[in-house]
Amino acid sequence: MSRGRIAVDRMVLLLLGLLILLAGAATTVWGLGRWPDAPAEIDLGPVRAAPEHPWWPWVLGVGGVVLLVLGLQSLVSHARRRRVRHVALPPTGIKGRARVDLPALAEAAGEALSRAPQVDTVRDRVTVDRGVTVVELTAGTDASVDLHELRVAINRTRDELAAALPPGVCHVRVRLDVRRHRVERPRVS
Amino acid sequence: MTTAPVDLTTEPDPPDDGSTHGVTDSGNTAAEQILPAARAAVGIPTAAWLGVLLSVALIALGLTLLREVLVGRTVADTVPVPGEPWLGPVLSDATSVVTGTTAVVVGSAAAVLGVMLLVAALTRRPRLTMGLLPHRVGDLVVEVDARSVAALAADAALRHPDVVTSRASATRRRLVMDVSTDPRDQHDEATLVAEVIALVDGVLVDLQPQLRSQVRVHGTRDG
Repeated sequence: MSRGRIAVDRMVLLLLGLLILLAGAATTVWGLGRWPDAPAEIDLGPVRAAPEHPWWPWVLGVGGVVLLVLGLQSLVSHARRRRVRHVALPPTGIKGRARVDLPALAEAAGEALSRAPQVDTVRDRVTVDRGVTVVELTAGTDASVDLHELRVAINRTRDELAAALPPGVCHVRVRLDVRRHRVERPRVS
Repeated sequence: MTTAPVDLTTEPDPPDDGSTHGVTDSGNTAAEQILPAARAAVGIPTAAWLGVLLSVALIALGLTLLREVLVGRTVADTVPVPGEPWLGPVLSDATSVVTGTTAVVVGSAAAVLGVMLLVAALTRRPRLTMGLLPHRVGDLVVEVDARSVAALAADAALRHPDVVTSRASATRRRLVMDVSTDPRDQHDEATLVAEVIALVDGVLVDLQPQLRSQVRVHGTRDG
């Protein structure tokens, strides 16, 4: 889901919330009879007569199509994931364009990290997070791991990945997924 | 905990001998400049979830309106659309709205809903992880979620010789550990709690934010 989509959601909710709040407050004040010069009863005659008008089917049809299209477009944009494949490298003054396959690099970094004895599994992915391309590695490990040694392995993997990239291409994130393999101390009777 | 001194002076590029480019004695700093750490992971905001609900509602409303147009008619002169209209009878039964309890209740509920939508629109994206801060300049911050913190804490508690089983749960503010001991072992509960917390703090010393820890002991006998 992109930042633009989230910004649109926030704006729509703000407007909708404000509208409903104002309408609700006005209805409450009117319902209490505190609205000056407002009638105590509002006739819904025009609403009752709407289905009788010749334009009623057109309003339903056009409105239905518009709402359907809007809803589908909104749903699709929420579900869309930005996939990062090749990223252009910063220009070096030499003619031509160079690109790097970031998912392949991320996979290689993940494989390198998985070779560390402190790491059980590694999941790698490349994503765009708040406008920034991020290589994310999730290292699965046991709860009894030596965190110091694990961090050494993580830093080494980051250094190797940095050696393969020029500055300004992406950021990196390493997450730990810690599992417990022992819940109880073995007892000797 | 003492930190080894770090040489931050700029060093000349190493000779091109096939070694890893950019990795010097202060290689961590160079790597951090080339590949900086990403901002902490965040989740999907409430506004986005409500946006999805709104999308589904729009689709449902659109289909309802289209059904109202088609029901009772024949599509392409061949396929009759069965059923009865819904909206027409409802609107035809509408007479008037009057001041009174119903209007006040509906209006108040709408006002509350409006406030909730405003709050949801402004709520920040939820933080998913905590950070294990680096020991040295240039080291990477490693992110860890609450479940993993609980696993680390529970395993650390198990290192105490008097603890038989341990379980833990954590949020971004609190860590609660449930440990059990052998009732035949004699130990002071307060001392045990302090020692378990010390063990856990030793493992999670770099965690940011620091959590408020609570240890509940089961099966112990006061010494």
